[in-house]
Amino acid sequence: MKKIKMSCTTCPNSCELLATVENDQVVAVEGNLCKRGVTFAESEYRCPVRVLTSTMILDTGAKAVMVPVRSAKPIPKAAMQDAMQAISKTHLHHAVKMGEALIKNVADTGVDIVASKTVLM
Amino acid sequence: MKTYKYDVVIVGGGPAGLAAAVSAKKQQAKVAILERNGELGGILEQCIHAGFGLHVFKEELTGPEYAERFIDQVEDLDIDVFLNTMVLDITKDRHVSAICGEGVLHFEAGAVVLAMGCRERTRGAIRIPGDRGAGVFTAGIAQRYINLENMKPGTKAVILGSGDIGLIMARRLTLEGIEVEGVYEIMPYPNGLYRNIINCLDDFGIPLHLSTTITRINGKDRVHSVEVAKVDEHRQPIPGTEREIACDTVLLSVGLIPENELSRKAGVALDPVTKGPVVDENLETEVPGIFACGNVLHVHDVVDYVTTEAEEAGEKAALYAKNALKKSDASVAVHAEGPVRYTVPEFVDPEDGADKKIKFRVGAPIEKGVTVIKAGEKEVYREKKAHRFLPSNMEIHTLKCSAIAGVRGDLTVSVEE
Ligand SMILES: Cc1cc2nc3c(=O)[nH]c(=O)nc-3n(C[C@H](O)[C@H](O)[C@H](O)COP(=O)(O)OP(=O)(O)OC[C@H]3O[C@@H](n4cnc5c(N)ncnc54)[C@H](O)[C@@H]3O)c2cc1C
Repeated sequence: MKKIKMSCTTCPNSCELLATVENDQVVAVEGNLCKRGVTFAESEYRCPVRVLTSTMILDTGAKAVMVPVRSAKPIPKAAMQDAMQAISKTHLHHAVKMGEALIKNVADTGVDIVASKTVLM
Repeated sequence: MKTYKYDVVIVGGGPAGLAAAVSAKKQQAKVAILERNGELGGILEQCIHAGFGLHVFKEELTGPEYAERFIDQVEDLDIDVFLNTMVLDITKDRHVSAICGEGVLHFEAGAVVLAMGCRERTRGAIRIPGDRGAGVFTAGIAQRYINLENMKPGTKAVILGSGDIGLIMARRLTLEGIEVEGVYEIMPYPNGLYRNIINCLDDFGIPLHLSTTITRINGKDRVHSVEVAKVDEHRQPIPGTEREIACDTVLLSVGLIPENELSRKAGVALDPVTKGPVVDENLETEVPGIFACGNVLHVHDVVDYVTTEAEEAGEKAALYAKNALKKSDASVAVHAEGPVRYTVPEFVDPEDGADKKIKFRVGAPIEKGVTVIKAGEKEVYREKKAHRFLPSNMEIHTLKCSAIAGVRGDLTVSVEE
């Protein structure tokens, strides 16, 4: 049996969860204000996902500008390093709009890396 | 010298200034935002992580995304924006002078909204002994270097203080391939949000050492190590617990202080605890027509609350400029008591019929307690459900005006365990 601390991200209450895991199954959850905490704990144990954020370089010719980027949706934690590599390898050469997809299906997660900000040249 | 006339002049174009501007404009006021940077958005532009907007937009946005939603509104509403314009002085009769590329600008304002944000406490403020080598940064400066200027602060870092910015930076450094040896916190509890401890430290196996501090920084030209030690309950280093850690970078995340130089110049009274202006429930300072909101008033951990506070300040400033702000003389003081460190506002009007939003923070964690507000001996508010209070979480409570109508004595806000 092991106990895992988790922070529920389902709503702004941000419940501090303590999940008890036995035989690779979440058998109990404490600290949740509602049922959704249990669902969260199960998926957090199975496959934790996070929104990944970083920056990409936009080469304007005159100087390099940093464009903040994010995964459009949370991606599996396990894919984060690969996604970071894909981001640092990508250089932009054009103006971008907030929400524009800059890398499609990053690290085979089915999720795009999008611009967090509109940057005009 | 150019002179402009506006109903409402807003100093600072961060989330507070943006929301105040939009809401003042909706009251049909003529509004200007003065911002010293080359773009709007304030500190949000460097906060590229997600975690903004859960309350206001019900989704998890990054800092720049949150800012852009408000910047778009400011553009749509044709609010005048003066960028690269640094405000130097504000007088009691609301003359605002600023400097920009073209020289000095002068503004005559019906009302002024202070929205200058805050600054980080530095090494000087906490007096760490040792050498003065390069490599010691506040967490926010390191954030700026990495996220906006594409500069790498070092290769192996130790972080002092468990404030949110330090936690966020621990993750950011790790993702960028900079080793984070650990986070050291002098208090027996962490200062940042629980979510950030899990997602920024635990996710990456970065240890958090509580009741531990840096006692010395070594390295004449560049930091090469720090000495850390456990502290006792009086926060004094315990002899024999010292440990030396090799590193070339130290990040400080040891607190924020409202940017209060201009507030001082304007002659507004400052609260010794928040270090921001003393305000009444309209967020008006003791100088009539000068309002304050956001981190310049008191440090907020969640930007959504900055937005709602600023919307109120903007609206009230617009009303003031039009001589339409109701005000009676029946103001009573609000005091913080016991575990409550401060309250905002410091004054309310019990006779104006409006419900009061009381914000406060506790000085140390309380496992289970309820908020209680008294007028003299009489209890006028008691929270129904007991819960945990943390210094990192701002509490917001609504006090019904009917509960305090007719009260004479001051109000006291406390938490009963
Ligand atoms: C590094 C960091 C990380 C954070 N992370 C989160 C998070 O994850 N989630 C969350 O909800 N909140 C977070 N916050 C809190 C949130 O970002 C702040 O509460 C919010 O940005 C405060 O807004 P503000 O407008 O009061 O101040 P700011 O954003 O600091 O804006 C103040 C503006 O005023 C301008 N200014 C100052 N002086 C002058 C002058 N004399 N003349 C003209 N302009 C001037 C500045 O240039 C700046 O643009 C974080 C804060 C920091 C500092």
